Amino acid sequence: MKTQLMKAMITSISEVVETMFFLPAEQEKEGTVLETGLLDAVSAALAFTGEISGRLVMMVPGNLLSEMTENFMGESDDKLTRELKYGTLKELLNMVCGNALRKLDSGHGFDLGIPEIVDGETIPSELPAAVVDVADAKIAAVLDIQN
Amino acid sequence: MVYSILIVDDSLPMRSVIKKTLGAAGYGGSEILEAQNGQEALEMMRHNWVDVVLTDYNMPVMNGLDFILKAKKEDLFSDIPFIVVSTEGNEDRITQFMESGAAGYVTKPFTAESIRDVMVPILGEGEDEDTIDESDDNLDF
Repeated sequence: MKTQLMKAMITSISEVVETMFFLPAEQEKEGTVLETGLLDAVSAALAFTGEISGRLVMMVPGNLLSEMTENFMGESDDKLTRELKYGTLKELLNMVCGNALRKLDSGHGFDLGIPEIVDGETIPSELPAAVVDVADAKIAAVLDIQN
Repeated sequence: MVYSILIVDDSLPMRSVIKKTLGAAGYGGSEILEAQNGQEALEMMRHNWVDVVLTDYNMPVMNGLDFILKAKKEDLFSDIPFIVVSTEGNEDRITQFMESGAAGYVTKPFTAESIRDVMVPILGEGEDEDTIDESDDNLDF
């Protein structure tokens, strides 16, 4: 189930990034949080409960987040506040998580929490992470499963 | 076609994206109203003409389901179509929305086509009215 969920998350990142942010996305590798080299990226977490429960964390470098927010909102970077960029990351996470869980869903559903910005350095470095190439940069999806 | 469309979502970036997608879907001339949650939306509907509502589910203060249930109890709003735009796309949840009175459902991520495919029949527009703006559909949001 955990492996299926990670695969679904990776597929969902590509679908969401290409559909809503107009950027190409391609999986690069799987490893641990430490191996992503993205500990200083902007990070957001979203808890989910259901057949499998835990949280998904996404780590996006600041420069890429700015580009994604520009594409998402159709505004130039000088008009984008940090709040808007954080809001965009939360929406990315929300869509990726919802999309991935739908792929696994037997019909009874998962409940999603509210996305929140977290300090990347507080994410356990040994957790499994998938790195996805997006427009010459990298983003990471981290799965922290509770059951 | 020109309508008065109320977008209900707690995320400013998402409201902005929905607004731009509506433009690409052929509703660019419409009046767009925005609210951050169901409670704010109900208040807005009491003071503004609204033809159709696009609402998220997962919002603080009042979520999309409670919002639809409350609105449908008010005579003034009973004929307004509600379209849920949400990441929550499992069968049980969609059934719950439709039973509460929602007229349609769009899952995130969405495209101009997916929004339009749901809105056209709900708003009673003719199938031959091909108003979608292809040039805005893929890029430059």
